[in-house]
Amino acid sequence: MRTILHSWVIALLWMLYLPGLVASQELALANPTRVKAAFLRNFAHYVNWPAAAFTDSSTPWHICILGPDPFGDILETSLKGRTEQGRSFEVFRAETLDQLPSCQIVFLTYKDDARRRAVLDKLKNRPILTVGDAPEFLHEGGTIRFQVDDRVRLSINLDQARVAALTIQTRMLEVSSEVLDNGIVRKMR
Amino acid sequence: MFRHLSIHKRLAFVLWGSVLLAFVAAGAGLLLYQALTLESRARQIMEPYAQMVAVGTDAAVAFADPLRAQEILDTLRANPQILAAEITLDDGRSLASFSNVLDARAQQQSEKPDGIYLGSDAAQLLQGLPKGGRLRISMSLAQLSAQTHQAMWMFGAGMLVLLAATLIQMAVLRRTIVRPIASLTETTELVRARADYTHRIPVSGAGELARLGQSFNAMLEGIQQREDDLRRLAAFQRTILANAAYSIISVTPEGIVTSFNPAAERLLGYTADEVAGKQTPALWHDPQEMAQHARVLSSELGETIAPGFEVFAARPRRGLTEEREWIFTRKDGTRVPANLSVTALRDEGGNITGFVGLIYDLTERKQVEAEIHQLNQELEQRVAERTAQLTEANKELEAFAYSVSHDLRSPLRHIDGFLGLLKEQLAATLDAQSQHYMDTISKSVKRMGELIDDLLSFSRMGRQEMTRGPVDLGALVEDVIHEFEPETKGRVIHWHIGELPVVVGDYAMLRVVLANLVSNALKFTQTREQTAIEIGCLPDTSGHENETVVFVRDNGVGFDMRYANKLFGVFERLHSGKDFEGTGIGLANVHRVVSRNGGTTWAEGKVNGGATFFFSLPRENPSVARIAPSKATASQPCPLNEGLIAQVGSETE
Repeated sequence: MRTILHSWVIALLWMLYLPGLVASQELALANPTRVKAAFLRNFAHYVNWPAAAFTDSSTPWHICILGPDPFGDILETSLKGRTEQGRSFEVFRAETLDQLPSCQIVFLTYKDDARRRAVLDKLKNRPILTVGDAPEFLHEGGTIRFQVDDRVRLSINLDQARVAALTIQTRMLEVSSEVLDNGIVRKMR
Repeated sequence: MFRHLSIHKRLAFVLWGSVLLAFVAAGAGLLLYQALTLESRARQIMEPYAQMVAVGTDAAVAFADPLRAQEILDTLRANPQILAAEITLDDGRSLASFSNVLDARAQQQSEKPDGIYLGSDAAQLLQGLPKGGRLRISMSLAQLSAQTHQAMWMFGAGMLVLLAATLIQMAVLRRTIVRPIASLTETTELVRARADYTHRIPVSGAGELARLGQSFNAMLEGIQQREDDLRRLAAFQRTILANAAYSIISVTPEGIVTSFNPAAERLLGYTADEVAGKQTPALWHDPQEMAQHARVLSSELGETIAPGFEVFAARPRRGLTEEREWIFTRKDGTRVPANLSVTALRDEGGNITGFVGLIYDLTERKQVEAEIHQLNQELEQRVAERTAQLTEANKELEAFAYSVSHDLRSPLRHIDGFLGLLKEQLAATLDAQSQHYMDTISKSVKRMGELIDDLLSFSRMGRQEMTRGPVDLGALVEDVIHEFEPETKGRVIHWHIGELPVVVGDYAMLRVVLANLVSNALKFTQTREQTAIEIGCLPDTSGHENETVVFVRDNGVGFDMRYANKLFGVFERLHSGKDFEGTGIGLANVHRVVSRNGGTTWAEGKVNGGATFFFSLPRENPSVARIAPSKATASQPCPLNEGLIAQVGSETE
């Protein structure tokens, strides 16, 4: 008897508070730079590199910023004390590619398209995950592009990833908004 | 308080108590179990969801994808128990959420560490996600508590069944235990209150209670039996007490009267109501007499006896008999002699529980005794008078006999004297015939003289004053025999003299006795060629205990035992004077002397078979003992086996 009564009460409450469900879906806006820093770190988890990408098993992750640095200490703060697959993180910043050691992740911030294309072209066949903000980044041969509107979204170039011998996990694809596969751009959402 | 309840209430108390206890304990246990397991049950439901969401939203969290996160969270809606769910990023932003109810506490609880938090109607699970961020799942406890309520309902139903069972148990207990006990109790109280042992308990079955009832009935029967016996005994006792001629008074150990029978009422003049429970026997006793008896008892028992009730109780207390005469004072003041005997009443342990006094009136007996005493005195006086008269008459007679004898002697002496003179003068002239007459006269005169002498002697024996003293019979016999020597010249005589004792008596008289007996023996053995005379004494013979018996035996002519009683009379003769001369006074003299010495005489014999004469002398003589208190105051007994030296018949010479 009481069980039934309870059920009724619960059902009534349900109907009363149904509008609240929609409101909770809005994600409060955060600092996009901070989000990007976190994303760079997470790529180490969701992307698989071939063993040749590291000099030895204890080599830390090399995350390199090529071009003007948007992060400041935000990136260091985000990576501080963290490891991924037993490797710690190291951040390198340079204006030109020559100034960088061998990196696993390269964040390209060149505004100049030509410079960007040249670097991407250079890195094309190497096991390096190239990340950038530019709208044509994927078509220029980049692997992952950050797209910032209400929030930071991902676009992934699976073709380039295959060329660079990188495997991008399906889970990451699930949360990305666009995937370039076999020359076709597919909207995920 | 519990003790004053009836059995039924107590049983009910215990049963209901245990049921209630079981109810409370089980209910509390159940609730406690539900409360303790609530968290784990909630965890069992929520944890798989949390795990699933954590894995599913892994990438969504990593790349802050609210859509994907929301998709996965929304799968939880399928379970209506889940009220709300939310994924929060590390910077505090909510990545995805849904809620069925408004949960105000959600924001506050997001700061808490991982775990399950139970609220009153909801449980909340907080869990950190591997790629940062936290998951919060909130679930309603309604269904879990519904389970609990279901269990409680089941439990309640079980308890109702238990209560019903308890009610039935109570009814059974009431019928099988409480009612029989109640009826037993009721009967017991009835029996006790009315002392009526005819009640019986209805008994059925064979349980302990039935056995108890049977035993109780048997006990009642036994008690009734004993009660009847007691009643009969009491009636018997009452009848005895009421009708006994003796006064029977019972008292407590302290002396207070407890019962007083009608005979006592008649004897003492008090009624039982006047004395029972109030008075002690001191009421009807003379204080002086009691004090006197107390003194006697004190010296007799060696401890001080107070002159009070103890006078009667002292001896019975010590297990001694108490019976003596008292002078009782009746209520009207008159005094009654009565015999009182007191006995102690004792219980099984020997403790004194009281005393019983038995009193009988001695008034009549005293009167009778006084009468008897008076009659005796009168009789004695009469006897004394008669004896005095007889003694007087006897004395007169003896004096007469003596004076006659004495006076007869002088004419006889004259006759004899003048007859002698006549014979001398006429001797020449007298013819033979006349001479014979003269001799006959002379003989008769001489014989008459002897008769008179003997009579005088007999008379003297009766009157003579006795002087007692020790007499050596042996010496006396020798002396007597010596005296007879002239007469026995020419005869063959064998004397057998046994050892004879020293006796107490009059020497002269005893000499007369022995002289007469020896003279007799010699006289009646004249015809024998050889004479055997035996003198001795006999050891104790029947009929003559404490007497010395002396005998003189001869082998003479003897006598016919038919005339034995005539032997000791005066002038009694068994043989004619022609055969044996004599006056017939000798044995009479012997009898008289022995009698005066307190002994007896008798004889045995047969014709031509000899004769034996016995006389006895008392060995002790109290009247003499006072006169001469020496070693010779008693006759010695006869020396053993010395009396007979030889048989007369075996003597040959």
